[in-house]
Amino acid sequence: MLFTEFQFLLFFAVVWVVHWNLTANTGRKLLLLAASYLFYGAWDYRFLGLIILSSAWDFFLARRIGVADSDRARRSWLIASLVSNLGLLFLFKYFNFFAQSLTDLFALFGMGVSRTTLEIVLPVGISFYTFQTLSYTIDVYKKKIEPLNDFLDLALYVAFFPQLVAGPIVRAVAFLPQLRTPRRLEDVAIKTCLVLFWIGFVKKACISDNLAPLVDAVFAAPAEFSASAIVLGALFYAIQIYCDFSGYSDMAVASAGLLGYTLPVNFNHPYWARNPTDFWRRWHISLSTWLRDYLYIPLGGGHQGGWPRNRNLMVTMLLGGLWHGASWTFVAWGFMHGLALVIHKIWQERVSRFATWLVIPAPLAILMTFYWVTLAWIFFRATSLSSALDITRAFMLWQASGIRELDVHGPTVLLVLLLMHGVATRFVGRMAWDRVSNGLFALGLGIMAAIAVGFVPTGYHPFIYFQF
Amino acid sequence: MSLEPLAIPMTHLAGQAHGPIRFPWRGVIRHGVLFGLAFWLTAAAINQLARHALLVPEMGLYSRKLWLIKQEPAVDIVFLGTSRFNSAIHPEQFDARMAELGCPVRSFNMGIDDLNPVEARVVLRQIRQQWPDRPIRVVLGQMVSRYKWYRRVWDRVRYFNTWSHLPEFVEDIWLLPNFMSDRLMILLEFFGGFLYEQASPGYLAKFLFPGSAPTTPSNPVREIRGYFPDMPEIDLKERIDFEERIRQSVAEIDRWPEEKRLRNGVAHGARMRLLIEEARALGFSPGVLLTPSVLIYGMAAPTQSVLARDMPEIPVWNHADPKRHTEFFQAEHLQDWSHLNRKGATRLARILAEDICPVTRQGGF
Repeated sequence: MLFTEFQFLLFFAVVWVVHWNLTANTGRKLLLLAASYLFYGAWDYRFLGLIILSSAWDFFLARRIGVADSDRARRSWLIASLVSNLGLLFLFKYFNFFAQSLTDLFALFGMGVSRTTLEIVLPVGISFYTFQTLSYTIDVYKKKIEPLNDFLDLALYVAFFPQLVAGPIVRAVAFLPQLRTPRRLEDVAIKTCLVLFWIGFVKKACISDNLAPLVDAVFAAPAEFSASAIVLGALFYAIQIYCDFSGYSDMAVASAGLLGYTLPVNFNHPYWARNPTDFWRRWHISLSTWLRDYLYIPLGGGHQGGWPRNRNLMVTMLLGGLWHGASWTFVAWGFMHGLALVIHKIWQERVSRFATWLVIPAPLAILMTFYWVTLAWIFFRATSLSSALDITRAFMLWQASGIRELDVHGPTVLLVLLLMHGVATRFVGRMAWDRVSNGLFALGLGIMAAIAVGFVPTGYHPFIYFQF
Repeated sequence: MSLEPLAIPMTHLAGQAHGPIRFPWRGVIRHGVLFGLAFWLTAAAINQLARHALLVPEMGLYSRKLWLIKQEPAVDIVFLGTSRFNSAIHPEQFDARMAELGCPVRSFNMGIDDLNPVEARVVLRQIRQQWPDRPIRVVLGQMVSRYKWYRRVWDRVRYFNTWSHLPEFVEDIWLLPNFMSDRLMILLEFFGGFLYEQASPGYLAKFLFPGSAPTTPSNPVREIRGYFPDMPEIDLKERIDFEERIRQSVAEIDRWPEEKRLRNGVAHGARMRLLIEEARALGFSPGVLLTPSVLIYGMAAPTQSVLARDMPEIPVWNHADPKRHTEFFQAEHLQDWSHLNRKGATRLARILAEDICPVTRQGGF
């Protein structure tokens, strides 16, 4: 059940109507929990038990942390939470990767080791909800929040369907208070939410899904394509992944908003970033701030500067890369971003500070950042490191042996997308929708929805971030 | 495109002084209707625009056969049916035997997989348009009755899901021999696909991203007047098992109650009659061929009886009888459960010529 499918729209409409017709807060929460489990079960009912068990386990651990009478005991319960949550993630997501990598390593030294892999299916959304349950127990440990007395609240926090399968990663401290007070329909900015949902739909279904076959073709057989097709393929992927993920986030935020809940912002014009640090303040913000607060800062953060900061940055980005998937291409992607962050910090310390005249003009800084980010996306998308290197070479040197071109007029597509971006940012996003009459809004939305559907290609296109 | 600043807040910041309000049913319904109207009108406009501006989509074998017949200088007999026709008639062999019998003709195999009556009528009109005054005989087969939901995204299904074809589709579904509840389900599935098409998904994308639209690949294979002779064979090792399964199926069909046979016969006879009338109206001389297949064995004889009663002037050649035409139910003549291989198609074409030639001589076809 994808956000862009008719089934979801029907499902959401039913949930929305029933939700706002229930008066008791507990009744609404029960409805949302049931709907969330139904939504998750529609993906893969086999893992419903896992998400319920994970919620129950962290509910229990947080209560133990809350009642523990010594720091040592508190820490022990926290470690139990960390080990169980990360263990679960390791088992489902990384076991085969590390087993295979170890086998390959032994083989490199001429030592034959029998390969052990498990036939494991990755539960959808596990990376997201594991980070959420972790944030809950860590925040209880840090005494930022009290442990919950009501399991329903925690279960709903973990499984809340708008953000269950691909985020944004919601902090317990931000979401749990919203569950305590009943939501009110009159407080909901319905038109703003509907416009945001429409924009998310356009990003995902009309832009990302149309670019997907072109990108897939280039990355599946880069040797067949000309240099210009490869460059276009890489640029298209940068647009595809942004539209795919930020489109999902927009629809998640809008769906939650229609139910009266506020989810965190996940994107803020990332391709306008002027440097790598700026980029990570704009891209997948809920993950980058999670990694900052629960990994980078506990590692020591950046206040010491120099080598410790650079090491912490690199470790955070490498693990951030690995969070996306069990593959060396993701590690390489994390490394490239870590390297860019380190170089930027050094530049700031050693060059910008002393040579003020050496300030890079904003447009050039934006282009340079985008160029590096796109290069890194090649590793993120490629099926193997060698394939990524081939595409990178063609992208950087503008040289390739293939002759196949993409069956699309690249400059026209890029221009149309840029125009759409401009219109959306300048007009659609800044309109005071509440001032538009309801009738006019309904008519306008109907027309815009039909146009959006006209751009939806046929076929099944799951969100890229569902695989993480 | 980006609208991140909209993400917060999703709630109004002021004006919370009053208590909770009742759910605004009337407003939601009124604006929902307005939204729906605007949506469908816009989608209908997009649909019309796309149908006029875009080329006819590539529709696999359907497009290919229409293209192939356009290359023909002239034809005298067209075999129009489903994939069973596609695999069952070898036009060259048919023509050769007809010539031997003193009835020289040029025939064309217009068998198209999953052909339904609506699509078949369009084919008839296309052929008539190509040869407006030529006397052409058309041998019709039983059309399919599959209107599954998942087929809604196929270009061919989408192309025919228009308002102008809607009454024909509804009529055909209503004539099916299934029980009322099943017919309603089929109708529901059909309407799912029909509404999907009316929402016009993907049409605007075809303008901006023509390369990303999925296309049906066309394989360069040998072709003889609409017939593809390189048909697969059943593996020698599987033949005994295969024939045993056919025997079991035939025995099972023999146990059908009379009511079921009659219901099937009346329904398929009525569907066939509509197609025959359309063919006649277009100036064709129609006949009916029931190809050898276990799938239509149970309904073939009753259909033949119904047609003999209602349209006695229409010749019907029933080869879907494993007791009379045993050879066509043996593995050496088949490629699968209901499709003949080249040997089967050659054999049937020659037998069919022997059936048809005398009738043409007598002016009955």
